[in-house]
Amino acid sequence: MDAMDASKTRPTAEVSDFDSVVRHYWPRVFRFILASVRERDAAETLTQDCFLRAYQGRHQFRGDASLGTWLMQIAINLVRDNARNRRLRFWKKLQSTAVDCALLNEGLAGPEATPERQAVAKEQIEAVWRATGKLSERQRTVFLLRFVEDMDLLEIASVMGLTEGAVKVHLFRAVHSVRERIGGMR
Amino acid sequence: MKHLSPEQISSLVAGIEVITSEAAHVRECAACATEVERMKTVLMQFRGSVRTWSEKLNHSEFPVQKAIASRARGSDAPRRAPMAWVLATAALAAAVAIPAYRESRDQAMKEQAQRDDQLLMDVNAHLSRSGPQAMDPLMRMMSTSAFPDRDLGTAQENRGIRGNQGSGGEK
Repeated sequence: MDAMDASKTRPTAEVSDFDSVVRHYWPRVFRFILASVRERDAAETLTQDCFLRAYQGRHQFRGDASLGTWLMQIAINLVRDNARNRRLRFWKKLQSTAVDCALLNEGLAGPEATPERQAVAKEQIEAVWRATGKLSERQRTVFLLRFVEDMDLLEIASVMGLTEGAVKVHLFRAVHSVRERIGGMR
Repeated sequence: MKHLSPEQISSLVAGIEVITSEAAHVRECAACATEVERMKTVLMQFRGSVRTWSEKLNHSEFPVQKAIASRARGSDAPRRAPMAWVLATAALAAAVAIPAYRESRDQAMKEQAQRDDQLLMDVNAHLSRSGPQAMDPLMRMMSTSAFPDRDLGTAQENRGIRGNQGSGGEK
């Protein structure tokens, strides 16, 4: 069962058991933030901030959304604030491809893949990383939530506070832009 | 056969809307199917790479969660006085203490000066004395007889007494 789905079955009172909340959602929140900011230190700090805010506001959590959705809302706001506060540095990092491609490409095409195939996969992954770096903040967030976190359109809309239609527009533009940048066949 | 446009392929890859005619075309057209599949594979590899990367970097046994717990506890604990209040209190204490200290120091210095003056006067008096204090009456008598003008008051007194005695005898 996906973490997001699992959270829907969790009672609201479970927020009080904050240790298990952290243990359960930490990897997901950290992954999304890491993919967004592309710096380990910043990602760890923002993930800490995310859970700290959740802890401080745990009494206000009414269970209208799932716990995972609530945490992702906080994470998205933190990433957005971080990007605004450190815009110059952020974009410099993006353009200099701070992502450790050696780590990114580990086990990409599977151990059985030929070296040629692995090389092609590596190039494509790096191209997607570069392409996502050129997207607008909203397009990138929608793209990451859809293709990294496997969230459906309604979940993305809920997390980002957008309509489903707006999410579709951002997602289409993001995919189209990435496809053009990585060299679509047609 | 007319192939799908780039926008239609992007839409299919994004999974935004599956239009029946486009889906049917992909089933029949190997070129369009390959392109859609290629993009989906790239995106799946991208997801895999992000997850692998994240797991590699997040390998520790939640050390940061301990930091969260301590930060959370810190946020629940009573807040320490802000630095501004500490500085203001220190300034107030200094404003009260410094004048009081100066006043007591001035007073002590004044008393010390008085004691010094008194000591100096005593020393001068002692130095200017020609004999011991017990011999003062004798020395006064001797000085009066040797230098009658020195103790003018005493001589005049004596003369006055004698004068009075003489005038009484004339009567």
